[in-house]
Amino acid sequence: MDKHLVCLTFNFDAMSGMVAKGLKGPTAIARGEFGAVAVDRILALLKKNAIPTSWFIPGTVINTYPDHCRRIVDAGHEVGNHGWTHVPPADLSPEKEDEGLGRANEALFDISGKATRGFRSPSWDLSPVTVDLLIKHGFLYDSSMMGHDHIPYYARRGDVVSDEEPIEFGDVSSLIEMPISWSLDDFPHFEYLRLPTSVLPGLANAGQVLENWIQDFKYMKQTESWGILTYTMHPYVIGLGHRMMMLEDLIAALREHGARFITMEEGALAFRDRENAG
Amino acid sequence: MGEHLVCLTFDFDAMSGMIAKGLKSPTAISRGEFGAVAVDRILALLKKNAIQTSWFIPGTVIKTYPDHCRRIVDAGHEVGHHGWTHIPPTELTPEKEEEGLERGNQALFEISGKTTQGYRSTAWELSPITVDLLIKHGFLYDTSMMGHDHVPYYARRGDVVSDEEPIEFGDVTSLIEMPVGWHHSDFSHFEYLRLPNSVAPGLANAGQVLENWVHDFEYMKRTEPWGILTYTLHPMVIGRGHRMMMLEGLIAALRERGARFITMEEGALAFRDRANAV
Repeated sequence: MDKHLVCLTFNFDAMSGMVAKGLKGPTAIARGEFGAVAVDRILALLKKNAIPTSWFIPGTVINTYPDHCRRIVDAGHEVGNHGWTHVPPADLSPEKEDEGLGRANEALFDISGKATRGFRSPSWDLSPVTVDLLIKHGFLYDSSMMGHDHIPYYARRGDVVSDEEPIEFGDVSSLIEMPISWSLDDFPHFEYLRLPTSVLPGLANAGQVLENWIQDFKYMKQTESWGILTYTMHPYVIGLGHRMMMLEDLIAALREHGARFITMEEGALAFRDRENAG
Repeated sequence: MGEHLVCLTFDFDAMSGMIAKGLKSPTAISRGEFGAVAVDRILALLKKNAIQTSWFIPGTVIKTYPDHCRRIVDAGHEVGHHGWTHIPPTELTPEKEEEGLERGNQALFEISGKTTQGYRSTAWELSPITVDLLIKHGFLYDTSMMGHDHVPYYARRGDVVSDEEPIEFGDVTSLIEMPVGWHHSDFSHFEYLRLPNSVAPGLANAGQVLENWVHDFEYMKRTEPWGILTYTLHPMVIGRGHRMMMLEGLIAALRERGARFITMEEGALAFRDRANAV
């Protein structure tokens, strides 16, 4: 028992994602505001099911919605660093990235009173210096990469990637990677987004997404003696009726299959203990 | 006993949407003409079910299809503003935006004999001055923004959105916002549209869309003592066989679950009464 663990994680982006994409009109902003409405729906569901989770919140959003963020903390959930703005690290200068990490950590400390253990990059995109900066700022784990689906690992720094030669892997660092994937993220399944040169169609049928998401857990249970499956959700996406119902059903189904729900911090520490013991 | 209300709304765009996207060739135009064919199918279905709805019609379409528009009015449905052309307000100069409001209002008055109460922006995006213009021109409500899914609210003006700092919310106005969402639009689910830089795949399975849409009503019924769920449909999209059958199924399922169908004007006034009573 306690071998097949689940991290439910929530990126409370509000309007920061829209702003980072240059979408600043009233309707785009309103889509983000709906995220704040959804936070309380989600907290009620998690309380009803007694589930601890991890929330990643940009610093600007903590400043816009301090009461919502305090409610998340007071309900016992972990809060993690999701940048100062929602601009991906790959689009920031190293100085701006470093400054943003620091500003966001300050905002997080104001609401939680604790040092932040985890970082999740906006848009899941790291710059060449992100891993080094996270180690410098004392983070326990990152949660932005996709090298495994069931098991954490130690992140590398300094890979050399060339067009014509095999990749040269860099050094393994002490930073734990709590991996994620687009397939277990509500955003690409559900969010409809029209940009100047692309359309993200979204709007999947919730029952069909649920089926994939449960199958993933069943497969982990069949094939791993120990593992952590991580789901990523966004309040303004998952907060709509049919998707909240899906989340309820997901929790029930995973529980029925023997899942134990944990925070990312707990998962990272459990991984580290197993590594040190093994 | 709560009140769980539904606004079925129809954007009768005909060919105006295609034109606004620069699609002016015969086949693109004919896709819009199909909308006029669909209007009578929809009116027959609504009459059979004795349902009052709200229709948003660009001024140029009122001029192109005056008889269809009069049939909509004579059947007792509300008609609302949907621009003069289908060009989004964000792409108009302030002068052109105001001129379009006036021309559209004139065309609406000619077919309805009444002052128009509601405005819906084409493409659901507002310019920095739209809210002010709507108040100046005496509109009761806007229906273009997405800050909630179940409950109307009063729109803000003058938000200050910056790249690097938290948003500064502007002032709340007297303009009622009857919120909408892409998850409740037939266009985003069904319309297949190839543009120079993007493809909107559309063409969802109608049963799967229906399931999401009915679940949304069930969730609202469970979680709100009073609420309004709004669906946005386009005759040229919803008029195709499998989607008309879906619309029939939606009406039946919502009714079975206790929904009461109202116009947006009725919903806005009910919201205002509740807000004043508190």
